[in-house]
Amino acid sequence: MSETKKPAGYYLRERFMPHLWCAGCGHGTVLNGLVRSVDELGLKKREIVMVSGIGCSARMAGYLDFHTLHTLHGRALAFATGVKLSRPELKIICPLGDGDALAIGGNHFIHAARRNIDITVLILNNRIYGMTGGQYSPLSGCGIDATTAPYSSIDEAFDAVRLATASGATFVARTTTFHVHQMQQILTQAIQHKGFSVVEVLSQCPTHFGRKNGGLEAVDMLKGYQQNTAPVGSKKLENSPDLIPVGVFVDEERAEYCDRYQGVIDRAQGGAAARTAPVGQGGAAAQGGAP
Amino acid sequence: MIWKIVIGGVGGQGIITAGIILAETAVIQEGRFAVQSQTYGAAMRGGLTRTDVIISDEEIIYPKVDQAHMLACLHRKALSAYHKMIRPGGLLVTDRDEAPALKRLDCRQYEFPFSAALREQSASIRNVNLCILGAVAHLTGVVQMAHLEDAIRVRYSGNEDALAAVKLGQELVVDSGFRAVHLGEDGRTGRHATSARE
Amino acid sequence: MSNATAGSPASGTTPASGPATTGTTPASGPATTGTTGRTLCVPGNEACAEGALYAGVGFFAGYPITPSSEIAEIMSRRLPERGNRFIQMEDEISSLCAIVGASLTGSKVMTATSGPGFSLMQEALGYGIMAEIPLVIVDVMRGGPSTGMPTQGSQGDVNQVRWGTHGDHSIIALTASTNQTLFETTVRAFNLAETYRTPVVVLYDEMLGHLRERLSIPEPGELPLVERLRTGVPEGVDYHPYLIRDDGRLPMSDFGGVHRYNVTGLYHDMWGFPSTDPHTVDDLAHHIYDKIELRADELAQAQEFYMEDAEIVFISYGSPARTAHQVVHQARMNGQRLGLLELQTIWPFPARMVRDACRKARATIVVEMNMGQMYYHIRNAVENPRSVFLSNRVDGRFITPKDLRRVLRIVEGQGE
Repeated sequence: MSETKKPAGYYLRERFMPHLWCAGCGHGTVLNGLVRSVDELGLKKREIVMVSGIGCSARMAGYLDFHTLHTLHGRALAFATGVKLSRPELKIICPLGDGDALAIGGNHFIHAARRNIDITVLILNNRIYGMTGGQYSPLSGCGIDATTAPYSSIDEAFDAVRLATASGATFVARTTTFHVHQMQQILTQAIQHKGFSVVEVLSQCPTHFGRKNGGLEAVDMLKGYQQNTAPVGSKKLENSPDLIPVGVFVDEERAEYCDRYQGVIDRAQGGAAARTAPVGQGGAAAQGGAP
Repeated sequence: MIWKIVIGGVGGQGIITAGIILAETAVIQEGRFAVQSQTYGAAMRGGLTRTDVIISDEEIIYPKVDQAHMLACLHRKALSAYHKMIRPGGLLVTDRDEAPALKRLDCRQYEFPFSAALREQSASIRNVNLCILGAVAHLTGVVQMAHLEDAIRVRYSGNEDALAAVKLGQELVVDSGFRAVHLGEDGRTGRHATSARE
Repeated sequence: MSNATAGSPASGTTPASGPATTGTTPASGPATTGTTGRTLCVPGNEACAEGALYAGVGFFAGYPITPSSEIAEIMSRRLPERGNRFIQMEDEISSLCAIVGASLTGSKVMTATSGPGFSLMQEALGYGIMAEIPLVIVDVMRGGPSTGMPTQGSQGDVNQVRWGTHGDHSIIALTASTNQTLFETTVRAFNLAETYRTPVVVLYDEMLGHLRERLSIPEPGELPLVERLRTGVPEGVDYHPYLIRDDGRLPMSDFGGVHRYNVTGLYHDMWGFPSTDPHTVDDLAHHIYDKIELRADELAQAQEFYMEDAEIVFISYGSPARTAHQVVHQARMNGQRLGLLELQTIWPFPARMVRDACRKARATIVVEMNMGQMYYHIRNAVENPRSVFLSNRVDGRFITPKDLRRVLRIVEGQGE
């Protein structure tokens, strides 16, 4: 932990400002929480690689003075996997939106979780596609109005926490932009965690989600996060199971992918005797057998 | 000289492996040129399988076998499918029991009891592919017997059964009293030799 | 298929390396393989993999697909032996994305696939072009469209390589017809990727991928290798990742190094920051196009056989070039003046080389395993398009000498 706290501006690229987030957007709150966690952990800027996809959430990468890779919609985790496996000593943080994480990027998400590769994922869940103008997302849920759901959405939403857990993520948490202290605490834990860590942050989009769904303003939505959530394992949640649980759901140790790959290297360099499985001869498939 | 060879059988007989060993012998043990290709697909499931090998003292331009100087066959299904590939006057080497010779083929036919001899010696029938390689090498000199044995030693790292199978194939030719033959074509003139070797 | 045995020395060829302006270093250290200096008898896919290892590939991500899977199999075994890394991703989309990420950390990177997988890679291929990432992509062509014929060869991806990803761009694509040239082509692909900071596609057909033949692995240093050009800007001084040097090159800085910068698939300024400024966009659009297209002559590489006095010229590439070579070789013994131009650079299209080769010819016969994907470009390039004919097969079978002789007779007005 660093002794002296640095101002948030130390981590920002002012050349990139002003940012493009709307007034009242929750994403700036998440950026603030992230910067404070990085500062608290005493990480050097050059140790961190931010890999993002496409969307409002993805712009977070460019605003921060780390190594930043702004990629394709949904593919951030695939790029991140290449960075991490190639340079395991780097810290990888991926801010993803609804579509990045769980629509077009859903397959990459579950496979990265399955491998338990040491990447920290922030799912900035605003239940809407903001940058493209307010279409519904796989996190919108039923009964939501959107520009592509003029008669309200009939699609069920993913539960990102349960999906991440089932896919093998070894740290899974949920928080909101209202719970700023909890958010920072959880982000710190997630970045420290060795393995695939997922933090779902409920983040308000007053411009598109709020306006289409009852004219909610940012403050209304933040109040909603306060009123409609309860800590996981709490009495409050037990009494009102319809509330959205927040807190840490999974925090376990399991062999991390890059560490396991080091084992592969050790076996490969140890010669044939050290190999655990028989290895086919080069071009073995040329001797017959198509898939 | 250029040798164009087809080896045919059914999946599981090690046909492709035989082709690879033949090519490896020419390239690695003898410093010559060879290309090997195969029917690629469901070849492991008992269906027809075939490998084409061209061996030459010069670089090989066109890598496919059109008219084969020799067909080596380990299964009757393969024999009936591929016998038309043999160049008139070419050579046919078959397993006496698994691929009995066909009448009225314009080629020299040589039958050997490869599989029967392996069974007689209680040797693994899986090595029938190596057995026919031993016979082919001794009969034609397309690769030298000693080099073939070296290639087998490298690939099977001292497996005595593999080496024994190759030698068994050679002995079957010696015992048969067949004279060695010399086939192939001159790479420059395209002229074909079909004379006896001695 | 060396020129010595072909009887006709090649002309107009360039060595298997980048242009003279690039810094080359001999293969050494981790770039060497355990097989250098040895003679092998291996399939084309293995020759390609050996070329990549010789060039110093340090990271491979891929997804299995016939007929390219052997490359992934070899990499999964050989890379960890050298302390490098291999990963089997969840699909071809993520495979190309992963090697982009790894390339940014300073590794030479590669993936290998076939048509269906290459279709999925088009999105990230465009990213690699836009963000100027050194990548090598191998496409072992099988019959298409769609799942097509997984175990039979084709050359149906030639135009997809050029135009598969959206937007104006250029690309380098190389091909080969023998194991030895495929090895050298793969090394050259890595050299060009590093020199021009761009994806380079190694494109060959299933026939070559599965054809086992002799391969002599050169000694370390025998083929020049281009290593990544890294910035000399020290820590604390502004580094501009997308500021083009006078020689057209852009020195890189590894992720994890002292310089932190942004990489994006959006149009961007010299800092790598997104921009819609018309001048910035115009400059970048021209840069990624011109850096390759304006060097088409320099990048053009081919082998010529009996071309000096050829009255009828074959133009071919990949496996069918071997058939054409065979026909030309035999025709010369009969006194027929045939010649062969075997293209080894497919993209950027070697228009000048093709035009010069056909200038004196009575007729030009393009030999390829598709419906004429190169044929149309060749027609556009020559002075007399009506003298250009196509001899093709799209049934998954090798083009035979008989096929070509039949077309020759028709072209000569002799009937079949």
